[in-house]
Amino acid sequence: MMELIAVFSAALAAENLFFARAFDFGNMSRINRDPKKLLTYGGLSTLILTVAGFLAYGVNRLIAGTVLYNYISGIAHLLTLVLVYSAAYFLMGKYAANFFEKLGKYLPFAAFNCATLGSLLLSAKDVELDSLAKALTYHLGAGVGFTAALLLIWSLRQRLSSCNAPKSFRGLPLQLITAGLIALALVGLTGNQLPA
Amino acid sequence: MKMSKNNWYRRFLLATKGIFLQNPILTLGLALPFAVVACTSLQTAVGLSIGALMALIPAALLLPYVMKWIPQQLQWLDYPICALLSAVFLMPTRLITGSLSPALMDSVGVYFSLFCVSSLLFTVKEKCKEKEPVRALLTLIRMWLGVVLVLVLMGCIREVLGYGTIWNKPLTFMKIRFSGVMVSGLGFILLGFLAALGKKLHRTILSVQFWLRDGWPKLKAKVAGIFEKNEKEPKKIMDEKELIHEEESAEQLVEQITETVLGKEQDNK
Repeated sequence: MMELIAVFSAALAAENLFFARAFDFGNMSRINRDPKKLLTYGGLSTLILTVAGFLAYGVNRLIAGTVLYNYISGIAHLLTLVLVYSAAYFLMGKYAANFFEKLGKYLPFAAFNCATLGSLLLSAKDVELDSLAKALTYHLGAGVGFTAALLLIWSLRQRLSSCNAPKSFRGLPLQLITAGLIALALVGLTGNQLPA
Repeated sequence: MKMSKNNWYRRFLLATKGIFLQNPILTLGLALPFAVVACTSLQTAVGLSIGALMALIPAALLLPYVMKWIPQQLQWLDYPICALLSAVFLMPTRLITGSLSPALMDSVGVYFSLFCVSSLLFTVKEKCKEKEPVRALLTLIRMWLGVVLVLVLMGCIREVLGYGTIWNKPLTFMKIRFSGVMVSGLGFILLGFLAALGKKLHRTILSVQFWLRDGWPKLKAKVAGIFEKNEKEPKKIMDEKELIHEEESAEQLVEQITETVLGKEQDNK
């Protein structure tokens, strides 16, 4: 149990998909939306990531050890995302029509972004995630961390928009610098690591 | 600030839209993972640029044709098809690049595969949706060049500061190493400063242009006004009335002097 908590907290903060890996949420301007929509978007991403993580664990077992593993792992994990996206599209359309009408347009962005595929690929390479429970916990933590990062960036954007910054720094530059400072603070938890 | 249609800077910006104006990374904030984390040297920048080229251009160009073959009910599959098309083109690129330089592929890691789901690809896809193939190709190339510009800049700065080398060749003048620039946090900060520098450069060029248009003639007029004043002053002395007055006064003075001199002579006699 402690191991699972450690994996969850590491995925949530120390290896946060946005701050530590810079996996973006798509267009940064999308963060202008209200927090409720962001929360829904993050929730959808987390759900898709966790379900895809379950399938990806099996796929990874199948292709691991093959000669072309490094070359086909990307497309194999992408196929699992496509499968989960299609299933979510059908199920939401059939059983949650109201929900689908409101949030159906966010579904492709929630399913296909660097955070979802990146998380699947990273977990496939991580030797410590040797069991299904650990892999699922990692994906859940990564999804929650991703949603938290979304909300944090939204909040930062709101606060920075009212501050008196130099004109050249207003907007994206200041947002990136602030994200960098948070990322540096999180690096303090793990130490300096080069990308996997 | 509005610019006239004949303005050279405006024409330059429009011609290079996607490279300097609306740069995908510095202005739109797309493709962040590649610039912030993966791009740690000039070599990785070049490798990522090749990846971006192969992931973006063929997929975005082929997608409209592929979508024509897909029935109307399945049009919602455009995003997964775009991602899969891109992944199909990325696979041989990875094979070739990996065989040429295995170290490069190791340093890029999972980031190479992420091109097929990057926000950059989906933005490019939306931009080229209803464009003619040639125009779409031009837009794609410009956006790709914009990405390459930032990646190469980031790669160079980080390699020089972090390793003291450029394309693995040591730089003798770099005695101090700042290995911290390889961390994602400083990558964000560096990119933020680059974006700010781009904005500052743009604002400076604009302000110089506007100063040349509006400020320079005003200054010219002011300077000309000062000179005109100086030139008018000697002209005033040369005015006829003043001249006559001065001449008259001079004559009176001469008469007074002669009278006094003559009076003194007569007194002496």
